[in-house]
Amino acid sequence: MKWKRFKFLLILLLVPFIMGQSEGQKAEAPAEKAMPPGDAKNGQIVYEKRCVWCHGWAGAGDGPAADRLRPRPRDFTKGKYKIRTSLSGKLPTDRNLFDAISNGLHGTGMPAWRNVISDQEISDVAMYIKSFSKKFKRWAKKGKPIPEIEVGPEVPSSPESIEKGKQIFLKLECWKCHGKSGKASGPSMPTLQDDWKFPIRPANFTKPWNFRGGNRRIDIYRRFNTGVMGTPMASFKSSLDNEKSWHLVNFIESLSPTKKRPGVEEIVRVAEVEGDIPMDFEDPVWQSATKYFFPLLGQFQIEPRQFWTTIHDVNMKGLHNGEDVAFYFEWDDPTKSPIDPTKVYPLQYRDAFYLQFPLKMPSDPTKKPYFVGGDKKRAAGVWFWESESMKTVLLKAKGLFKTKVVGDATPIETKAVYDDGRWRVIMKRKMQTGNEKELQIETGKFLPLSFHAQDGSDGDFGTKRNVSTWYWLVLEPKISDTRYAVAGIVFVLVLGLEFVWIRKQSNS
Amino acid sequence: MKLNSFVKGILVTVGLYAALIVLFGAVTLFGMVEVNINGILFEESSSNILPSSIQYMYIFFIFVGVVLYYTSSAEKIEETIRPMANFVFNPEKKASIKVGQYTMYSVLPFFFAFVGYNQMTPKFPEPIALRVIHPAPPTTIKIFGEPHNLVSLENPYRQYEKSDPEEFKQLALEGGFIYFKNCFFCHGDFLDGRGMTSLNLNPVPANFQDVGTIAMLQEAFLFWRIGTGGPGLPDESWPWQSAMPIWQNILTQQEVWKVILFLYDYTPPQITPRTFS
Ligand code: HEC
Ligand code: HEC
Ligand code: HEC
Repeated sequence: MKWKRFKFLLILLLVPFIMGQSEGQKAEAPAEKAMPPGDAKNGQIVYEKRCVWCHGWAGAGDGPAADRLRPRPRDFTKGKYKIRTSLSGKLPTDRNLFDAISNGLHGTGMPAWRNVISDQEISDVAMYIKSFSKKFKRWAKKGKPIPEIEVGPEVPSSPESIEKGKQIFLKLECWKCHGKSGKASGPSMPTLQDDWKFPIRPANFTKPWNFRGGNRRIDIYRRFNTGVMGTPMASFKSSLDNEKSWHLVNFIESLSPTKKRPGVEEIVRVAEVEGDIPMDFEDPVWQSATKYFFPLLGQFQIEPRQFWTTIHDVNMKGLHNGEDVAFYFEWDDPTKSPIDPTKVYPLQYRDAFYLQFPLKMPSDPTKKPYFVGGDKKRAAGVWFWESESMKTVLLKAKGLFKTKVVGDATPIETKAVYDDGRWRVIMKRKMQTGNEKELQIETGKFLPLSFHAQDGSDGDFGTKRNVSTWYWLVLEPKISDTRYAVAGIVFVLVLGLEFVWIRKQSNS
Repeated sequence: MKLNSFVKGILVTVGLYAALIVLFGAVTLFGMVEVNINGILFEESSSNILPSSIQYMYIFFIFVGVVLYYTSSAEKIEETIRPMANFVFNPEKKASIKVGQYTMYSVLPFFFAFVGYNQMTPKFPEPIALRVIHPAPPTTIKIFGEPHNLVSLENPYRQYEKSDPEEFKQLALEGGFIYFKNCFFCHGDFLDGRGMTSLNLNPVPANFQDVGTIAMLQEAFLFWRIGTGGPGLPDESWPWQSAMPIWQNILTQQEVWKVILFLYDYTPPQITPRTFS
């Protein structure tokens, strides 16, 4: 064969690999990138094109978008910055500003600008925003560098270190805000405000993808040593040393199985089990069922709108046994509402969850009701649970303002518990009910489903809710073991045929 | 050694496919970049010039072409088939071929057993439906309570672009205010469809920086899309699934025209409204 030609083909095949490699490298940690020196004059141009919409023309955090973001865009005139390496109470370094603008503040409206503008522009605009507060100029007159915290040798994670971290977490009373389980459900949580008198929630340690300053170990170390300025999250440096700090980091990390937000599947596959489906959350049958993760967003469609999420996501599991089907939901909510169930509270103080299906099995399942509570043409059937009665009812929904309870619907057996920042609800119903006014669920048939959730203590009520668009649900039958038998028979058959063939070949 | 045409056919198929990959940015297959939307990192192919369905179509055509070429004459067919026959019957009793044969004999039972197993495992693939991104608009629409003819409808503020640039700038700025009170959550600060909610949505919010959206649409079309939102779409575009709100319920007619001005004003200069003339 002509080697030259072959070589050409080989190169053609290899090029994509090489290109892929270099792409991969580009995406690497931005923090180690060199920072070009910035020019405030040019920064003003960038600022007035990109940042005024949120941070306002005078940097006071009052741009047109400000009222509809929580946390609100930063008011730069106070010189208070969250993401620093500098000591508590000190200004951020230029590098801190560069990194904060590059990476954004995760889980807030502040985007990662490195996707959009150049490093030079980021440096320039960082210089410009310093001009909004006199503090920077005053400090510059001193001619001293900004003092930064030191990070000593790392203590790797181990069960002992995590246990020590936990003790520190309890002793320093981090749990009063962050909750014993780290789900932001501490007793002080409802009263917390930032320096601008807006309510603020502590970080949820089980969702590290929302940590404002990033979730690398070093980021976490820095946050509680520098404090998150402008918020009740103070610096704990005086009560800690390097070793204790790393124990605390190891403990915080141990509260979350993953640093990345879980992936989202389009299809919820419900497996078949034998016997009764347990209504017990801790039952091993439930523990081993596949968990699906669904993010929620605000309700932007119908007035009054909800611009930020109060419940960011729900987890779902499903099981059926050919007769009953049951769904298990789990979501984080730092407060249980109504706060005191013995008193009568206005309706808005209850937590609620809506599991949406089409009201009846549509002839064409790809045609669905509107995801925000159905529409005139196609009604949604909503399994509606709320925390006051702790019961689930079926709603017929032809729009958010046109819902009514279906009186003679088949009861949906419900169990709900609230513990330390988390709601868990199981809903169970007959698959086939014989009532033609409601959904009949069959194995192997695809059904659209979507979710809405409300956090009563955050003022969610009526149209104020967190929503998702449609996903698919399918109940899968138990797969019979005949497939193993079939595989075995085919194996033996093919082997036999081969044997006959080889005999014939060697005879001829 | 002269390559027989069977092997040649395979090499040509692979080679042409590789050429395609190189031409259109292979990256569709190998180059994943990490994207960060408000702290949520996800991997995305760095080029989506060629969707995989088109790639499959392309490789299918190459394959058919190669098969046609190598079966175009009796000689060619003979030449192509000979190596296969040699392998199966091994008339010269070559040892190397024997090794190949026995390898095949030992693999085949496993292969068919797997096929059988796979056949017996029930599959539940997602119902397939394709979404039309830019459906044909109706010619007359009722929007803001009035009937409009989409063909003759024009942006009442567009004229100021030439006649009064100062006024135009002011109107576009007002459009910006409307955008950053209502739209950026989904369509993003950079108008690239990467707002903070965008990862949670399917279909994803339109990317106005892309030459495939507003640059190929008339302003009247946008007026219809913004005014009637997701639910205003025909069934083939999934009105029940689009998160795009019905803005005629929330904004005024003037506000919609202003936000349209802003969309074209804030994006690169090559993105201009399409006109009928
Ligand atoms: C969509 C709205 C939005 C835009 C546009 C925006 N920001 Fe922000 N920014 C925010 C919000 C919200 C916060 C506050 C987050 C928090 O406090 O947790 C913030 C915070 C900041 C902070 C404070 C970081 C810290 O460590 O405390 C800086 C610096 C900043 N933004 C710079 C910029 C720059 C520079 C631009 C323009 C290139 C910009 N922002 C554009 C919403 C925005
Ligand atoms: C007074 C209440 C309070 C106490 C006590 C407290 N925190 Fe916080 N913490 C907060 C609040 C509020 C935030 C959220 C700040 C924000 O979102 O800007 C936070 C955020 C954090 C973050 C995430 C920072 C980021 O990047 O988003 C970490 C890590 C953290 N706290 C650790 C601790 C540790 C460790 C302790 C105990 C030593 C502690 N906190 C004690 C209120 C508190
Ligand atoms: C809740 C999220 C959301 C908000 C808020 C939103 N949109 Fe959309 N928008 C979408 C989605 C999703 C699509 C793509 C699906 C579709 O075409 O309906 C879209 C599509 C569009 C399109 C169609 C583009 C095309 O190529 O056909 C236009 C124009 C548009 N949006 C303008 C706006 C304007 C202007 C606003 C603010 C007044 C806005 N959107 C607010 C989600 C949103």
